[in-house]
Amino acid sequence: MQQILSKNEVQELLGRYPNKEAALMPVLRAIQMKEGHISKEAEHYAAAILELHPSRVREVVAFYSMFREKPEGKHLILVCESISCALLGSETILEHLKKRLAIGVGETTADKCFTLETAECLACCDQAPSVMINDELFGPVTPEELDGILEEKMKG
Amino acid sequence: MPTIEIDGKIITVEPGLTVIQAADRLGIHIPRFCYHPGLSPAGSCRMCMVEIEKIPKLQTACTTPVVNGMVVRTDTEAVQDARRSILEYLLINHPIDCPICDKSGECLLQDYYTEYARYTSRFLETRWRKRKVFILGPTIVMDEERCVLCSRCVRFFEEVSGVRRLGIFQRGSEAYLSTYPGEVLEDLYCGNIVDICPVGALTDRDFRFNQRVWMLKRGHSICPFCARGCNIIVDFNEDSDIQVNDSRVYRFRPRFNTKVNDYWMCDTGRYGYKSLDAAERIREPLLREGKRLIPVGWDRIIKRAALRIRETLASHGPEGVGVLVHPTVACETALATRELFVEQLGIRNMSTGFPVDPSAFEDAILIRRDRAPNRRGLEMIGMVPKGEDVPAGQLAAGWATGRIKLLYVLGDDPARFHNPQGPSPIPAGEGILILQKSTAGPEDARARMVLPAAMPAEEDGTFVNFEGRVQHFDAALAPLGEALPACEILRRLGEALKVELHPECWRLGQETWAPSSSS
Repeated sequence: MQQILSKNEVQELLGRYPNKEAALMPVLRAIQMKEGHISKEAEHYAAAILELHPSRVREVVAFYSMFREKPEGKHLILVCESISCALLGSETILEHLKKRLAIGVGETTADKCFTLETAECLACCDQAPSVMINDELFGPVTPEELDGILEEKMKG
Repeated sequence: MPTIEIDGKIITVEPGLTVIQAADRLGIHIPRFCYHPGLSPAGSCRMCMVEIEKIPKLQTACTTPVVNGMVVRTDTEAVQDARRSILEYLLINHPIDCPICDKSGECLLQDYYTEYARYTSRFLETRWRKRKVFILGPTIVMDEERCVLCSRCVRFFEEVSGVRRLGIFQRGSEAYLSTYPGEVLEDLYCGNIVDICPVGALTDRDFRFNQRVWMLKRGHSICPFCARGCNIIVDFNEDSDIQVNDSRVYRFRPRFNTKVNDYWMCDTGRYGYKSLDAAERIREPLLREGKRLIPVGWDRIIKRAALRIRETLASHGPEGVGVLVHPTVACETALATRELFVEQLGIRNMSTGFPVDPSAFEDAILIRRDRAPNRRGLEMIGMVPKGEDVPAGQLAAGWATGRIKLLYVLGDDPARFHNPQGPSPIPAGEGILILQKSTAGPEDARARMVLPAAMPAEEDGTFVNFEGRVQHFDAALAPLGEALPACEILRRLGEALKVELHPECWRLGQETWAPSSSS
């Protein structure tokens, strides 16, 4: 089996908790950080290091929508759809992104550069409409500003 | 020891018990889906909510430990209301297809709805559609729409059978039960998840659509397929409108016995019910005429058997007769055999079956290597005085060489149940072979007479399991065809042999457990 995490990383994560199962979520997060998503192989890998049955791991992966089961693009774009952003035009933002990237929600561009997702509240109502790209928050944004941001991301 | 009050009844229980366990002891039924006494509590279904004095909100009875002085009420307006609400949630996406549901009649959701809810659905949106026929494995089929996600089955595999084979994936209304993608649900204890499923989600592919459960009659028995002696319920219906392969018995289910099998049984035993109506069952007494065994009446076969035994005894003495008792017979049969063949006829060539196959499968849950249900019983009875027991191999050898002129075999070979095509342990012999058993086997080709005996579910009897537990069982249903209980066959044989067989010689008494010949 492919070792996704190093021995030290696993030791560090396991050391935080009284039993192995408790480290499941941090281990999955670490895997997702490395691989961008959690594949079937990764589920088996996590199950092996935590001494769990893969179905237990899969329960957790499938429960949380932020654990991704399919590979995503280099940059993950989250468009907030909650009330403040909706009132201030998140719909326009989303439509613009769909057109500009030529993909639907939940899809990835052909060059594997961007994945588009919607999000419930990003907790930045004061900066509505807001968009999060990877771990970086942008807001308030206009379609034009977004174009600039995307250009930069594509270069970077 | 905390003392608590539930619905005005006082009970003192050991600390650590939960409210629902205490209520069960008092005979107060608190509705439940996820709680099962044989599994760890999950507290997920919220159906068992009760009112506890000094606690402002309703509590789940399955996860709340008893505390001294606790006052619990299980039937107040607030509790009823909570139950109604839980049922309303559960029924949002439930298909309510009871008329075509195999679990109908033994479904907790159906029972509780009738008892507590009975409202008209307020749900106007479209119901979720899910997979109605999702084959989980060779024996289990899943209806995802009916599942209430109680996780009993998930916990069963984790806690009882030992390997986690199922999981609940996704969240909310999308959640569904399944094996890990690509895995097939195979387990030696699979059938139990159908028993414990509180709704019609998990059904048994073998039992499904064969009978409506309220048409079935219920008898109690002991599983005869290994030395554990699991307590079972025999579900049968001899005069069904829907006859499936002329069956009478439709399923075995485990019967709770904390000392033997808890709430469980293995699939070998469960599907062993088929042996009761199997095509291989011997339905009439069979007598050899030339190359064929032809059906004859009981009178004729008994007379003929008695005649042959008398002749052999006269010509070769007791040494010329051998008796092989398979440890599948009940203690009563063993006692009658001892009385007739050992005490009355003085036969000493007596063996109590072939040794346990050391290569047979065994686990730490229920399945025993010894596939015979009553080996311990025969040992305790002591068919012959200590040390005089003839090893079965030696008896078989004596038969093969022709030293034994007549061999009388009682009971079914325990190995046959698990390997019906396997070779017979009884070798070819020149003499007279008389078989008294329930199911056809390879040795019949050499038998002179075959006397059809009842199977355990069809006769009264007693098995002693490997731990020495004495378990009596009553007949659940009548023997198939012309078959008779083994003791009755021996009684008739004794009568024909004109030996004084004490009418109750097979009754188990205190003196039963010691060889009477030693006195």
